[in-house]
Amino acid sequence: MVFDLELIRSTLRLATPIAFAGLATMLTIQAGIVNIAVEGMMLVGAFVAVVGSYYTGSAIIGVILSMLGSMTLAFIFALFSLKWKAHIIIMGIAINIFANYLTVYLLRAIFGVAGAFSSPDLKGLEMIKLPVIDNVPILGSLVSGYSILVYICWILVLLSHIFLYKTKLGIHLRAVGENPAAAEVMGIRCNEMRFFAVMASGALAGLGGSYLSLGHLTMFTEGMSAGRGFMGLAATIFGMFTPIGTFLGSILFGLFDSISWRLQGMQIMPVQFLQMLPYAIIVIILMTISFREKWVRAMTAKANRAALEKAEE
Amino acid sequence: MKRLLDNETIRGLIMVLFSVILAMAVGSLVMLINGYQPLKVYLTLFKGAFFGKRNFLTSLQRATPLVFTSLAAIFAFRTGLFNLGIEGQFLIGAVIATFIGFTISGLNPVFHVLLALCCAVAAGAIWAFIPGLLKVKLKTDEVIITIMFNYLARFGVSYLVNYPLRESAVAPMTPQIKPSAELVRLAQGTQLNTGFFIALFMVLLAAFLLSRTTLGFGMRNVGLAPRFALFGGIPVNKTILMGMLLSGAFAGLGGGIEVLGVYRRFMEDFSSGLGFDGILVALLAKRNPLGALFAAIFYGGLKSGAMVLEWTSDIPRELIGTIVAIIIFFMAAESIFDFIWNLGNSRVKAVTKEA
Repeated sequence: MVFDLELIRSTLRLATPIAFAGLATMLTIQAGIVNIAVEGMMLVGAFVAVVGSYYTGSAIIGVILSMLGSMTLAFIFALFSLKWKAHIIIMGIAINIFANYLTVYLLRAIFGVAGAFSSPDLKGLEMIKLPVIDNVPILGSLVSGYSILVYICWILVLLSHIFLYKTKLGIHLRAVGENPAAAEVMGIRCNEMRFFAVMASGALAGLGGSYLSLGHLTMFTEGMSAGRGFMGLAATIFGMFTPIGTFLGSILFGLFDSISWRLQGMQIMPVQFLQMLPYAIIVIILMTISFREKWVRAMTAKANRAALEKAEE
Repeated sequence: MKRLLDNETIRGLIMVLFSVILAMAVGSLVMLINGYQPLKVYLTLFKGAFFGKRNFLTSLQRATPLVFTSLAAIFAFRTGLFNLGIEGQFLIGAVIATFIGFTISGLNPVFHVLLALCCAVAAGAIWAFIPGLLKVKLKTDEVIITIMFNYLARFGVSYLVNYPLRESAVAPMTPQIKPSAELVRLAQGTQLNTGFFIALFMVLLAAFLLSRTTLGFGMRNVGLAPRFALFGGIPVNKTILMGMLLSGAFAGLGGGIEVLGVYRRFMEDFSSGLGFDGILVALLAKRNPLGALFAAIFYGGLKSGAMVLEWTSDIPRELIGTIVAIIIFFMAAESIFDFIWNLGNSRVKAVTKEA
């Protein structure tokens, strides 16, 4: 059986890191920055979370340190690209490569292992049973019993919706992305807002990274983020740059991710084809979105032409 | 003296040098935190990279694939594209070259190598062409698509080496290529091969293509100002497609040469990171093909020096990638240098005014 309750549960679990990455990317895109460095920030977050949890014996401290670690990287990104005007995408590429090498280097320098680190002393995040809902028959088995980061993720989706559309700061943030010159005239400090967005994306990426290494698994492996930062970007595009849409996009990618895992367990075809599945789906979805946009553009142009002809008559 | 300093290339070189020094300083900090002695580490590193014939030749061998992947990055950058899929194009080229290398036998060595490399070029170019086509036809963003194509290539190739092309029961790898498909090794005790000369030739070809042909002119215009290029009568979409094609072609060729010259068979995960390293080298060279040759030798040398370092003092070799990425941070942020530059200039002005 491929489709059952457990599939939904694993979809929600696998969607969580993508949703964190998606929220991180979405916030910066709203401020007019295409932040592809989320991938690297997540990787550093995942690593710092493991270091923090291993040495302090507390997973929660690991999560907090991981946010600080990712925010440090976000600060470097913001410093170079916003203050010193490095090209945003190039800086993003450099940050990602840097994060990749740095985590492998530190993995070997600190723990003396290559490839992966895990240990019985490494504390993962515990599963949380929601007090009342847990006893409700179907709902309980659907939404109860995840790590705390899953719930934090859901709350943050709602909070970022409220933030972006209902608060003054959020509206200013969107104004910076929409039309920086106009925002500047209105007295909004564009660079400060962008800096704020990048730092927030760092914190979110840290949460996503620590979910990978302390929530989903309790270990760190090289290149652990495995493109999830970019999946977050794809989810953002899918969700038309809104928090709720981004979350739905990450649920979709999480679904394909968990189907791929499920089928891998059944050994019906070579694993590699199933591993490709989430990435192939993203390509297809992005193509569909672009095709739709192209179609809309063509239709608008046609309608405009028709209106023009009518006016001329 | 002033005229010399105003010179654009001198300024560029000083910038590179400054970035290298700054990054090495940051690297020293990291090493100190981990309890290593930076000065000793850097000395061992440079000695391992460039001193002694064997070390130097190994550095050139390490630089060879980087030359190709950095040329691939340069062609994309010059056309204003971000081809982050070089890693995948490199892999596809490598696997095709291996396939031609071990299936066909009884061919003249020159033809066999040429055939294998041509197939690698074509495969890499086609793999890069698809995201290019999507960009031109549907306006999909090439950054995400090329990244996704990396994963598709990696798993696709992994399937090939694990199932249809697998020979060894122990590890996922293909049979060895036929001797007629091998690129000749140049010196005993190193893996440096004739691929290096192909790399040199390709650097010249790339420099010629970019600076002396209509295509190169078009690419530069599309990269700098696509709308202006369109009004100037340059076929923008065609140029973007050519940019992706050429970028993929260089990446695929690099993959082919790495297999025919060094490994002689395809092993899973043999190339991890060479594509992204190529992007670093291209940025280090400020997107200039001739610069890329030197930058590749610099980075390749450091990588081979890092291997020596790892053997002698077990400092992880990934330290080098980290430091080179930091160099790119500083180089990407040109305004840091403008700041320093202007500071210097205004001081000169102040002094001359007083006089």
